[in-house]
Amino acid sequence: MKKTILSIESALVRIEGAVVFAVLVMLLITLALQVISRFLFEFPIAWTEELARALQMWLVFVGAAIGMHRAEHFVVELFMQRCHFPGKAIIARGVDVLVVAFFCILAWNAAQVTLHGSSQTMPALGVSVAWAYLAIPLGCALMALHFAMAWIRPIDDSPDQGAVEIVKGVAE
Amino acid sequence: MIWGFIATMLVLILLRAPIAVALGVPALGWLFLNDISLGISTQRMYGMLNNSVLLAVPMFLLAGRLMNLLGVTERIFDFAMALVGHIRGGLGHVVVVTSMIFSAMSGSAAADSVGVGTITVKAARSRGYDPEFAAAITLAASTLAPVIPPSIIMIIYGATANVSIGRMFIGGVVPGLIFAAILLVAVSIIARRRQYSLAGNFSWKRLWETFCNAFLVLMTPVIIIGGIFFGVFTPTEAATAAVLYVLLLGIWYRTLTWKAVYREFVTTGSTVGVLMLVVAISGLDAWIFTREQLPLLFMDGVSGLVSEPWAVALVLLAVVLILGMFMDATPIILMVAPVMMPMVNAAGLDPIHFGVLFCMTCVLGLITPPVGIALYGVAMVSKLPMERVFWATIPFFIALVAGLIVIVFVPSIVTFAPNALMGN
Repeated sequence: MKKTILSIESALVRIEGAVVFAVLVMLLITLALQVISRFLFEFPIAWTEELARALQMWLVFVGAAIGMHRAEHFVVELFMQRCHFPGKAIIARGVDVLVVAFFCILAWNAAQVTLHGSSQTMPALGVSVAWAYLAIPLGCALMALHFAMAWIRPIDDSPDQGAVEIVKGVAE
Repeated sequence: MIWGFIATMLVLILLRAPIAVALGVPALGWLFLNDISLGISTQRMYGMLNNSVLLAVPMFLLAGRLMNLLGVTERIFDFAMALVGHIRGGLGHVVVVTSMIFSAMSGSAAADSVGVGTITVKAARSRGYDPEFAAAITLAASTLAPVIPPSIIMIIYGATANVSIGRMFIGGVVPGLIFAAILLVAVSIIARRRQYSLAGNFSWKRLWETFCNAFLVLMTPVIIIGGIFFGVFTPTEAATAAVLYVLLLGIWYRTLTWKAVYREFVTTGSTVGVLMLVVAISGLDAWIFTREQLPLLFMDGVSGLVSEPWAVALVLLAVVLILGMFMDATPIILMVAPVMMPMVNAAGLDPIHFGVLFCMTCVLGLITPPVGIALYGVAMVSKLPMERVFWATIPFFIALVAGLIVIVFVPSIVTFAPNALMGN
């Protein structure tokens, strides 16, 4: 049972990776087109900027889901590492539940807005804004899933890698 | 109510909740208590990210990642070694020069401290330097990344405070060079006092060889900074050009494989997602802060204390420095900049001048002894006890703070270049 869930999750993560790759490649092409069209042909293409902004939505929310799976989100470790107080483990678990609940609420609200809220269309592309909005509920739902899965996922022990990740996270 | 909001946020941060969640939970609670539709949260997140200026962030991060793949760090390190390696305390000078060139290219302190740090601590051990000297100078030099363009932190600041990013970039060039000079002087003094031995002679031949090796790589900052300087590119376009140039370099050097490129793209996506999720959610907080008139409250508090522009700048920067000891630069900018900007304008401070100081101070906080969190990270990577890195960093820290204070009192160090090049 546990194994099946974990293999479903890792398949999901692979799909997320492919989506992020595709979005980033499209973003690169779109922005390159924008520069080239302005310099070589001296007329800016109208839809590049709009498409780039919509792609940014997808990049951020699917990327953040991958980041959640890799446990890369910024946290401040100092206090919980250095201080000890009664009930610390229970409080830590409570915060975990809060995190999952938070992303579920965000996902639910964003789904409502995506489905019913927006009748607008993007002027240059001529498609509904909902296509850009859609990244938010999907990304938030995936983040809730990956965060919750950390409870049953086996712990990966590689201290050096962890230290590098800390420096990276801090420096950004 | 707003104080409860802020208290919840701080408690959640202390309890190791992800920053994005710590920012978001009190915001959702506020919406709920005020009977405002939670759908606002979606709209604010969308509004914050629906901004083409922020597209420069993924592009610069991607360029930095791909450069790591090309073995760029070694090429630049060798070039810096040939350039300044023969001076007393040579390795320290090499670290500063490498960080300066490298930060200008990768645009993120992340790639910088990891890439340069791992090489320098190893090199220091094999050459008989104190490894904590190398760790300390790496930490100090990593503060150059946010001032020398392209800087991810400046992009976030520009988007949040509504300031021209091109101007911020150009305004950062001169202070960046000054800070690099300060660090070089500090290295010289320390090296002289500790009697570090001289290693090797200067050779024009070696300099020329390493320069040829690094030449194509050194063109990247020229394209980025030059393009923005002469108004050819917007920052986002310059970043895109940098990515395309680095990909071409990879084909030229034959070091890119599909697998590695795919991995770096996905990793970049994850880094961007993590960073920009905080940006997105902070859009909601900023909206609530404005409705609660927090900037006004803050303004009254500070203007009761001081009124001179330089004094206002020092008070605000002290707040940023203290926050910077505990938190990353991006969340600080997102939480604090919208609250501070009305004050900055009211005090008659130049927003570009203050912005460059702000970005610098954020990162200075990360290396502030004894709590700066970057200290812990570098101590872990270099496998040194925290205390040794801490004592070794103090002289550099004092030198950097002194430099910062000089820039507070002489705004034209920052504002001269953008005003001269881009008009008032």
